[in-house]
Amino acid sequence: MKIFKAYFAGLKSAGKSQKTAAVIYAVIFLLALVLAIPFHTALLSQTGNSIALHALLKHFNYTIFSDFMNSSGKVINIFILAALWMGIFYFLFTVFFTGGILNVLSNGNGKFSIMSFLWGCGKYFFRFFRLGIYLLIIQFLMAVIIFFPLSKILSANYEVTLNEASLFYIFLTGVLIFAVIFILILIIGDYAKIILFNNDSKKVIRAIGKSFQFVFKHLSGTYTLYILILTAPVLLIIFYFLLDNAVGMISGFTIFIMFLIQQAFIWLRILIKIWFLGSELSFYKNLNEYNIQ
Amino acid sequence: MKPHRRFLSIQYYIFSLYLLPSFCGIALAQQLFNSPLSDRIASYDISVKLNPEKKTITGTETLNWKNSSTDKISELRFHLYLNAFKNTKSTFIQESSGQLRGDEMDISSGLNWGWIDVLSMKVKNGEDLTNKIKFIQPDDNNKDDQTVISILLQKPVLPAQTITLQINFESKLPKVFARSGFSDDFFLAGQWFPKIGVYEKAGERYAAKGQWNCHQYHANSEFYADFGVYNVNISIPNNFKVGAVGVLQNERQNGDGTKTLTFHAEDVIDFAWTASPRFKIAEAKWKNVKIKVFLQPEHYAQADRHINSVIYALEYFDKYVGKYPYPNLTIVDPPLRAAGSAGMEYPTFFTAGCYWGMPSGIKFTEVVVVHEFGHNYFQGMLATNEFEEAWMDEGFNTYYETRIMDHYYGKHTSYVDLFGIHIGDGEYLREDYTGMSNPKIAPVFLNSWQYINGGYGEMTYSKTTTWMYTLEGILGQKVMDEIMQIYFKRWQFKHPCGKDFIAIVNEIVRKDYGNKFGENMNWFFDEVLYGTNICDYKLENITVGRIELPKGIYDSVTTKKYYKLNDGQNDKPNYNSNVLIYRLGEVAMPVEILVHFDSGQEILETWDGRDRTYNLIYNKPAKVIWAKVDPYNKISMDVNRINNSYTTEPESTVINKYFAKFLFWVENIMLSIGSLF
Repeated sequence: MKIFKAYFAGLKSAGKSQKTAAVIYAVIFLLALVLAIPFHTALLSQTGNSIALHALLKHFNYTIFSDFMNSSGKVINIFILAALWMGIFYFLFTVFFTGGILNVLSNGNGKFSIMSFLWGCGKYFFRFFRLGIYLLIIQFLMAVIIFFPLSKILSANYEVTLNEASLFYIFLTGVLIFAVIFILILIIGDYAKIILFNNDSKKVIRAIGKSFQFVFKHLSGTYTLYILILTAPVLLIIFYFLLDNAVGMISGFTIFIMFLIQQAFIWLRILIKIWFLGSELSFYKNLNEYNIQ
Repeated sequence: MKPHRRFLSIQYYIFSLYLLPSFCGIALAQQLFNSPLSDRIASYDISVKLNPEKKTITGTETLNWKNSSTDKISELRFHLYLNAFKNTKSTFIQESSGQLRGDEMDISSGLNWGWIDVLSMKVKNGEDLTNKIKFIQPDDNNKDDQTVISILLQKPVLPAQTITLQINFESKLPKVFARSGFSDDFFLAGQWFPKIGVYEKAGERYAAKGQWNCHQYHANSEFYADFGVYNVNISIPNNFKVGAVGVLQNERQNGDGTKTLTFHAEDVIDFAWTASPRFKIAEAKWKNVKIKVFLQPEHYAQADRHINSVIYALEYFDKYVGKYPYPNLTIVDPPLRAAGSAGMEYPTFFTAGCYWGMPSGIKFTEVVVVHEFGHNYFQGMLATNEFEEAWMDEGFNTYYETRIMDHYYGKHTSYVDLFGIHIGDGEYLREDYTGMSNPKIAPVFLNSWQYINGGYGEMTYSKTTTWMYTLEGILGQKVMDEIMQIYFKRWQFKHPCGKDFIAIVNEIVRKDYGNKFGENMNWFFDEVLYGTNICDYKLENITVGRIELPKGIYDSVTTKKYYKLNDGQNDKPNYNSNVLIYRLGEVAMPVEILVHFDSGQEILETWDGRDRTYNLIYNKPAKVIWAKVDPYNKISMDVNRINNSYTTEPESTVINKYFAKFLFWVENIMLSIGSLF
């Protein structure tokens, strides 16, 4: 019951957070444009006045794609690399925005104020930044702890197994174990943020410890709540691909429609992020776990 | 080899008695063809026993070898291919660094090495040759390589005479990483018995005088052998299922937990076999050809993928190249850990390759099946020299592989058709060549072991496929089919070489086109086969200007003429359109140029492609909007099709599409990395 209460409370909070989402969306869109505009220019200059790329309008065409990559791959690869760096750069923004989101969510009247949002962003940035670094280290270590032995097990099994099905199942088991633990780390991270925020604490490691205790004390609740909300982005991705398939990007009009759908998708992803925090904050508050010093 | 020869020779007397009934079986072998399809120069009667624990094959071989030349031959040369896996200094291991196609040799156990010992060799009722066996290294002088032996005969083999040799041998199969060997209880015996080389008589292929063509086993090279009849008895534990080249003619229980299977093959160049207790067998039939697929149990669900694709290949080759004359076909699916033996061809028998759970949208199995089947024609029946002219087998065969795959599975979906990603087999092969960082790395016409710095696969398979498509584009598929049909009909069972193929191309082109492409097509082969240049045409520019009619007074003593604007003649403006084309590459090919006008009219021009630049000039009431070199993609050799076209009205729809996609995916990358917090 508490889970569903928190689930809907978070959903309601997300629904009220359109302005928060708008700010975050604007930043994401502008940062992406920083790369996308030169990408557009580069495409124009690389293809010049060729009509060859028209073959890529309705379907994927390997010959044209590969010839384009052979002649212009170095330019395109720069943009792909830049996109990855932009993602890493945006990680700092995610850390920055989290304090603002929590500050707006904890505001009882639910009204958005840019000052309140930015104040939360600035106030919690450095403690959340340290938390972010610790979480990344933990995630990395967990990946090493799981995938290093997994690779050893796979390689040992390769020497004795007679078929690849068993190898696949071993690999799948490893990936599932990693997924379960990875989600657990994300949940612990989320409650650590809430504990830091709620108690206005700067003791990040202690907050992680408290969060760990809280999550394991209410493991079924915290995990179920997370998985329930996680179904939303999964469904969203499926829905997006169905729409992409149905609409296609084969004319100026359908490209414009898909552009709107894509941006709506991004907007919804931001709202889902707020939903996670809203639900978890509600779940935490409902259980009255405020005891961190 | 020598230390255990004497001991083993005693064993062989006993073993020969054991195999005596098998020889009776050989004598009773049923004939497959009413008259020989080939000259049957090298025929073998082999009786062997597999020891599944020791991974050895021991047995006897009776070779009947005919001197088809006019020379007196006093030296014989044999391949002992398995010695390539004997130590780390063999030419094969040195050249390959102990790997083939990504599968590495495992030297962690002594059991994993491979070798072949000739325990004795004698002329039937004549000279004992055992002590005359000498290892030679005709290609690289690597004294540690023992893959070729030479034997000097006291009494030469006279022209048209047949010599019969009786050979006792023991083969130790290596752990599979390169075609042949074992993996647990799976065995693929390929290149496993002492095999005589090819004596090329004067005038045959490139031989100025009679000479042995018997190369060492190299990392890149495959094989070359004469045709013959094979009668092979294989004794093996009862629980093993056995597939082999040729037809199973007899299976007999030995009463000691083993059985002996007798296989018979005619007019083939090699004999290979497989054995494993785990095989599940699927059977089918196409016309009179019986098809057997020896599958791993976990792959049995994919039996239809093997059967359907091989039937497509049979059907296509039958229609477009020539008849498959053999009564059967055996396909082997090796297990995961013997993947190094997958994708290998032998006459009437080949190994394919598939993986558990492989989606039907990835046509890897079909590609391998179609490809390996095709070798029955180019490696099996035409039997070109794969050491020296691998392109005539692998290249021609890959060309047909892509034609078949594209025909039956779709031009843009025949390799991958998954999640909106479409890749055609032909497209993939072309890109393998055009996408090379250095497509000039080596010519196609090169001994396979001389691709020292890489390029063997790309030149032999991919570039050859690409220039075969280009030849088809220039001549048309009908003429191309005529060439290949005549080539196959004229040269099957005869070891053609490159110049034989070129002669047929020249003959057919002259017959069908006269001098349209020049005196002959040698210019084409000079570029694509013997040369390393690339082909790249570019539609550089289109300029359009309005033609102004003359104004003013133009006169002479007797006439006076006055032009002025708007006198009726200028109501319909005329335009001067200039289409400029560059030849960027060194290779010159005849090309077509499609020119499109704003009136909707299209003109297809032709250009011999020889000059560095070419102009098309039009003075018409319509303006040229766009033009495209090679509009029907006939010149597959053109390494860049992006620069083949030009429009005066660039349209940004596609650019906008990828702009939107890129923007979207950058946003998603940012959110995804952010979601780690």
